[in-house]
Amino acid sequence: MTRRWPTALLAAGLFVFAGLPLLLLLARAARAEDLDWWAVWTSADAVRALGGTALTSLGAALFAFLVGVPLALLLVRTDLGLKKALKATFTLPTAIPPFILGMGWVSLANPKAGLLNLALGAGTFDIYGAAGIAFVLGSAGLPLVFLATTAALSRLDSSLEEAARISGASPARTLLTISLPLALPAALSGTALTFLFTASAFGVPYLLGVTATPPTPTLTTRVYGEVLMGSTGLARAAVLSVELLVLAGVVLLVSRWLTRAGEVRLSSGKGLSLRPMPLGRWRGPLTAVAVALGVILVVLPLLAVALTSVQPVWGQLTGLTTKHWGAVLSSPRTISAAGRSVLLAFSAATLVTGLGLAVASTRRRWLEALAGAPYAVPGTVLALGLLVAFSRDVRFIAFERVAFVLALGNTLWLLLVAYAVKHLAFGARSASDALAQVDPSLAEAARIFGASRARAFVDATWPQLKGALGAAFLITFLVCMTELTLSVLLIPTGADVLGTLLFELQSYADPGAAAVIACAFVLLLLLAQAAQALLTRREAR
Amino acid sequence: MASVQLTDVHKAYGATQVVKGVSLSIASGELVALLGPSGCGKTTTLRMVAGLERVDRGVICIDGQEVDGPKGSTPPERRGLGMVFQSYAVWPNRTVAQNVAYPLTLQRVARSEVERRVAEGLSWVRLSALGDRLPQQLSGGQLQRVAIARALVANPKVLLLDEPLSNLDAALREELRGEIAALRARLGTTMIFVTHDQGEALALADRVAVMSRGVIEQVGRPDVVYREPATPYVASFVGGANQLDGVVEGGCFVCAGVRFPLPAGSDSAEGPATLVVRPEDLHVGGDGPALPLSARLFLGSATEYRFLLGDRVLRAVGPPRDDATPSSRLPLRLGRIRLYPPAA
Repeated sequence: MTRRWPTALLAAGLFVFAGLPLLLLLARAARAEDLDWWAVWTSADAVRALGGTALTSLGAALFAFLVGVPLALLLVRTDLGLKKALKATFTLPTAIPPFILGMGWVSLANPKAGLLNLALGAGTFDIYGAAGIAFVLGSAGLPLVFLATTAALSRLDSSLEEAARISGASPARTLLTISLPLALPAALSGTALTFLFTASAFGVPYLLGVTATPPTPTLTTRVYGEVLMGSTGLARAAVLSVELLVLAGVVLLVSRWLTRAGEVRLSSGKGLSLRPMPLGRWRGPLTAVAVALGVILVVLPLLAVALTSVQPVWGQLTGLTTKHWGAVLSSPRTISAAGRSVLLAFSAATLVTGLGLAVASTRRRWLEALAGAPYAVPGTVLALGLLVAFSRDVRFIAFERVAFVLALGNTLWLLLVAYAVKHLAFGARSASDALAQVDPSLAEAARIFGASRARAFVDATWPQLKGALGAAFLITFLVCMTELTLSVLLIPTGADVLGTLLFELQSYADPGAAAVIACAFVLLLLLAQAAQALLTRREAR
Repeated sequence: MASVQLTDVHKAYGATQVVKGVSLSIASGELVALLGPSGCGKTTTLRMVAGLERVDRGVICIDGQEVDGPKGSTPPERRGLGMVFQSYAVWPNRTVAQNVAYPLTLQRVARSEVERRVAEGLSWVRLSALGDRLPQQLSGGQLQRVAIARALVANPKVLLLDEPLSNLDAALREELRGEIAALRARLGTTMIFVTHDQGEALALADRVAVMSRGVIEQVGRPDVVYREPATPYVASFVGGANQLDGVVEGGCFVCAGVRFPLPAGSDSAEGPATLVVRPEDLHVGGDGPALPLSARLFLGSATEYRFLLGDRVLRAVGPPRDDATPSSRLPLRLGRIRLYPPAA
């Protein structure tokens, strides 16, 4: 597959919808003549925002590292109890928008009305502020560290540990001096990604930072604030977002370097075997600790959201009610927002899967890298770029006579572009991984027996790809259903999607109603996961 | 140096009985090979001696001290052993010298002493020049040498070797086999050596324990096991042998309608029996029954002839013959044989 046109077309499309917006954003920042970049960066607000981003991101990364690495060690290398349930619990936050965890913690630890504070006395916990943001995003980013470390540890041959035991090392010493150092590059790489994830986050810092006393601004919430100010704000926002972009670039480089450093070290001898190390009398207590962590970090906030959705008055335990559920589910606003979200998420997922397959089929590494790049760009920055690039109609003139007009500004189309561009990485990566495992001789055999190129693809190649692409479709659909960061900046006036509705209800109007939407989404998500598990089990048979 | 005693050791994984009552006594300074096909329980037995698996039943003693049994189990780090793994298990993030130094550091040996003993250990395996290298810069044979030095450096009571040579190519295997023999002659350490390669076991061991399906079929000196296999299984696993089920009748062994005269001096009761004869003891020529030749393979030092007897193949090894053309019938004579009671 070395035809040139598809490659050129895909590259051009990526450039127009991802590269160009970022360039125009930089240009916008550069063109603002009355704006001194240095003055914008060093203004007291901006410095506080940068400080807030640095503090919360470091905090979240540290939290995810300190919790995620020991958990991964215990779950992969020892005979800890309840492993399956624990792994499922700690991986769940990958699929749940951090904003929903944030809502849960507001319900639990609002200093006056949080459930925990109602139980233990007002003011025991305060989730607002830098520490709260770091905690919530740290637990939301935990899977990044946990899964990276788990993957590295699963590739460790048990005999490396057994050799240490025979050499005279106790189990704890073996884990610390042999297993941990070998998984460290992967763990640190996951930690760097948690840092980036927190620095790029918008919903949780907005929810827990803006109304904190004193307020904890971050770069993303600051950019949002500037955009709301209109035209002059947009230029200042563009200048600020350069900081975010640089931060993201540096962190990604560090993470990639660490991943590569880790790969070399894990290529040990043949005959990989994984035998868990017995914990002996520590097994019970350590299992209890892990279960408690899972309950506190994942189950508790979700339960709090569920409870909030059936509380008559927010922050008062005065019985149960279904009035929020009734109101939300019958409100035309919710229904139209849900309709839009489904439509947008479905279209975006289709685009992501189709274009991802197209990108991967070109088998060009640079194109794959390009397709994956927007995912690393903080959502706020990407949205801002699209806003700048497409706020006016864009004209392409080809052959002097044919003109294409892209009138995307203030339409749902722009949001669709944003969703698709941001998550193209999911489709491209799944398709490229799946293609790498496809056995080309199957399609070649089909061709030999008389199938056309298209027929051979449908009959021989597609069956090998559909699992991975289906998974990419599903994850894109779910992520876009409650996408928040891109949505709040790009939503056309007067319209709503589930993400913006959730954001608005939780931040300004009706936490009970927001909890209903969040609950409904988590239920949908659990159903989708169950369905997927069922499907893979049937396929495995 | 220490002795090792296994008494009626059992081990099951779930419903699968892997080791079913193994008893073995290894003297101080002895090298015993556990020989058997994969899945026979030999590695599990070794891992129980190491303390990496617990016994379900039975007792293991090292140097007279019970390390596993009904009273409890000593963890591997307190058994004072050394072990060499099939996968090398050289820690990839430590240099060669750091790998070898690890057991000594755990014993809180003084730093200068550690350096001296690491240098000594590396010289045993001829890796003195590579102490600063990282494992990914080494070949498989060098990695296994690092593993051997690491296992020996702390003067283990017993050295356990789990298929140490099977990841290496044939030439390296020969070379390292010689080195293990030389090291053993020099250090006199008690060794237990697990292998599925009968050549390795016969060449290295003082005694060979042939295992099958979780039990020891025979223990003895390599030459005894080879010459006087206790069961047809041992005969075919060690050295390879033709195994025929038939009947002893009037000084002949009858199988598939063919009567083979038994060699003089083989006193055996009339009736059903299993006959085992090694290819080199099945002679082509003489006045025995003639069988159709199905293939002739030139092996260099000798020629292998394959005959059809009913639906089975008989292998004979001998000097080249001009009359051995395809589909010719040649006479066969039994040389040294062993007769066993018929297989159940």
